[in-house]
Amino acid sequence: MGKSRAVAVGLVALGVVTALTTACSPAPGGADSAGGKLIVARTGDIDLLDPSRATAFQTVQTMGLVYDTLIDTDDDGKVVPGLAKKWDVSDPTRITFTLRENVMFHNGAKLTADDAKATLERNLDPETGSVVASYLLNISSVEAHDAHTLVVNLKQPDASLLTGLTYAGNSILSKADIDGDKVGKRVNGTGPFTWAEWKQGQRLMLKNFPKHWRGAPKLDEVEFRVIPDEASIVSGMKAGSFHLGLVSDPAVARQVTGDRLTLMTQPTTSYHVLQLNAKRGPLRKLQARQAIACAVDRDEIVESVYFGKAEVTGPITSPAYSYEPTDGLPCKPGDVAGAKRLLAKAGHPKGFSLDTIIMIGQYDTSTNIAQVLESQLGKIGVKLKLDRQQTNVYVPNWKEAKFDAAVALNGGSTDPYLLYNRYFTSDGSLTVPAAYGSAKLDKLLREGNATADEAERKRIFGDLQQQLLHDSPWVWLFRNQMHYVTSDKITGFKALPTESLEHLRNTRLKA
Amino acid sequence: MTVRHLLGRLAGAVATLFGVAVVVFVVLRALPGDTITARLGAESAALDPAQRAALERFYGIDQPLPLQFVNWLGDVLAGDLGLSVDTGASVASLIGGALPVTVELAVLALLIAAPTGVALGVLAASRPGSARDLSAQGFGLFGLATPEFVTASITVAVLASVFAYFPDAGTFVPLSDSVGGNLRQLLYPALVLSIGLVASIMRTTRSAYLEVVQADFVRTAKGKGVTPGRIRTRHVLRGAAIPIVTMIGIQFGYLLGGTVIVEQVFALPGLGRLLLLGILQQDYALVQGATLVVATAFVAVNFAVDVLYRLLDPRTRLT
Repeated sequence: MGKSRAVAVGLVALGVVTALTTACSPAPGGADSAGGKLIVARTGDIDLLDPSRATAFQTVQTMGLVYDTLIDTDDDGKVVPGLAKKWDVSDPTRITFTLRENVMFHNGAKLTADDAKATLERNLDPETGSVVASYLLNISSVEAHDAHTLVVNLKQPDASLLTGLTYAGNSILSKADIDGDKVGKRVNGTGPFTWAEWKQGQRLMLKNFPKHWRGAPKLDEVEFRVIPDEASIVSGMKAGSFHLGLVSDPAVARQVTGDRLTLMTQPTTSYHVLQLNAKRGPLRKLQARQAIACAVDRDEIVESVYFGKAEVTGPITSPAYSYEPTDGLPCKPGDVAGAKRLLAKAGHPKGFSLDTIIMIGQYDTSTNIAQVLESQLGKIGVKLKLDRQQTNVYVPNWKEAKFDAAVALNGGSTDPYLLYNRYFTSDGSLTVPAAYGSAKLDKLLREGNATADEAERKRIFGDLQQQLLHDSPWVWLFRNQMHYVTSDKITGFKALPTESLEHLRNTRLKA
Repeated sequence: MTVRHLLGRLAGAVATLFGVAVVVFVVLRALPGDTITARLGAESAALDPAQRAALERFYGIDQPLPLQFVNWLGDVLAGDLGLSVDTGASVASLIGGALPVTVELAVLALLIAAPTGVALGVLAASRPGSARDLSAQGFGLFGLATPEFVTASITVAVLASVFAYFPDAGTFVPLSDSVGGNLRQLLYPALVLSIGLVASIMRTTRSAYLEVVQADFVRTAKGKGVTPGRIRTRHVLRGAAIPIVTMIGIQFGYLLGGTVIVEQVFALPGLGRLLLLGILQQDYALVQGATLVVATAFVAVNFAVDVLYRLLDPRTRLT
């Protein structure tokens, strides 16, 4: 090949590349004055169509747009009416829900109390394998008194049941779909958006449901795109290909720059924690655990791993219940001298080493957090031996408490009882990995759940938080963050601590 | 090529595929945890025994392993790759959607890489030790040493920041729908993939060329007064073709196995991403089906390379 020919070929190739690049940048939205299509980019696709079994964050988020629950939470995490316009708890073992009368399923059928009854009974049936069954354990029976009156009978008073009913897993399904074994095969909810088209692994289209009981959403369509790489989501946002991008890695969120993009950082109710195993070795001693809780400088971890943008938290992460995050510890966090004194009192002045498990693959920051903890605890002679494990290795070890310490990201709740009943009530489902229990904690949790009086609950859960900090079975660090990148083309979107995207209902595209 | 030889190769291919099926089946089950842990994560620890049993039935993992294998193999022989349990989508349709993306990406990358790599290799070898040789060798080193996730991420970031462009593959446009739209999505990932390919093809070409150029028949051709250009293409390059074709064949086979990283970064719905997702979620039917398809493709490419040898080099036809 002659030189000139080679140059010519090169030029043509370059020309093609440039032409392709410049000619066809896609501009979403189409500047349509009414409605329009909003494009959301996130790293994963939904993994199943049955809301009762939804645990993946994308699935839960999506189900919340096409289904409704009996009860909702407001922006602060307080329970507010959903499909039930009111409920009566004057008898604490018998809750009477009055359902709205103007609610329609996407297939045109009207919602009745029979649908709600069938849904709850389906979730209670072990055959369903529902992830919300554990929140319904106090239900003894469900009755549909008339078309719009649902009565739930309880074995004992259960104030947290209302919050349990806000979870996507308790989305109200149609009785006809349940009876006809259609659940999980097709999507038929009462939510603000209807199911339009799903190309697995690529995109999901939802359409506006004009007959929604709250009124039609502002958008005509919402399209979810699967962009597995978070950095690519930010690149796509910069190029104007998406309106909303969901990002969890704080290092990627930092790359959001430019005046056309806004970064919203929203703390969720999930929390980062160093779980200690109070049933093994030196950690059986209260002072040894307290020493670790004192030696950990939470702010420093937030600074170095989350670039200063995370909220230090105590055990209670529910936004409606806020307390001083470390009030109850015997010393100030980061107090190395105080921690050393406690260690000496525990009989381990030189420290000890802890087999520490870390889950990798589920979130990006686990190793970084573990390394900062390792260096902080090194100062008091407590050596963390870090063992990074894939989810499938970690979970069985965690479940059987095969660790001295575990760097964990635990799921949260807007209700304090639901945050910890699984771990710290005597019959909780996760008492083994909790690796600590006391009659006091059990009593406080039960008392908090037995009353619906808000002031009373606030006091009891405050005591619970202090007790947990004092006992230091775990070291609570900070709330997890979710990052929402929005383009300047949208208005009305709001992020929520529950990670719900329900405000897409009120989101508009600028003309 | 005799019919007998062909049959022998075919039997070998079937045995290979069966071996792959067994190994994949066993390895998948040997992984710690199961579909339920993979799906529910830490939540799976809170399931009570009745719920866990119900989910095991749902995912079909309650049966004894040999029975699971025999059932699966029977279905495959009947042309049914099974269902991806949660979504109810058939594995065949998922693979059917992903395979064309990967095949096209592989073909496009090779179309870019093969001519470029061979041309650079010949260029470098035609004057060993010269500046052009050194720069070609330098590129070869760069191409082999730079991981795809670096080149891919840089490409995406630069395109977005400088050109306000994102190879917008969220919804994939098949070639049959729009050639322009399709190329827009695949050109950049293909370019990224081709960097490493060019490097290895270039290096193979260079060394093969240098070896053949000293052969007697080349000297004879020179002595006969054949022009240098003709010697290069007709004599030397043809003589050097076998290692080059082998290298291209191997690379193509690997590409068909899924270009996981490039597919992730450019959000292309190809086989690599499908397979990765299947492994992460321990979706047995999906991983088994997809691996079988990949293995079949690999065997087919090898077979094609074998046939090409015989066309390129008369000496191999004797066997």
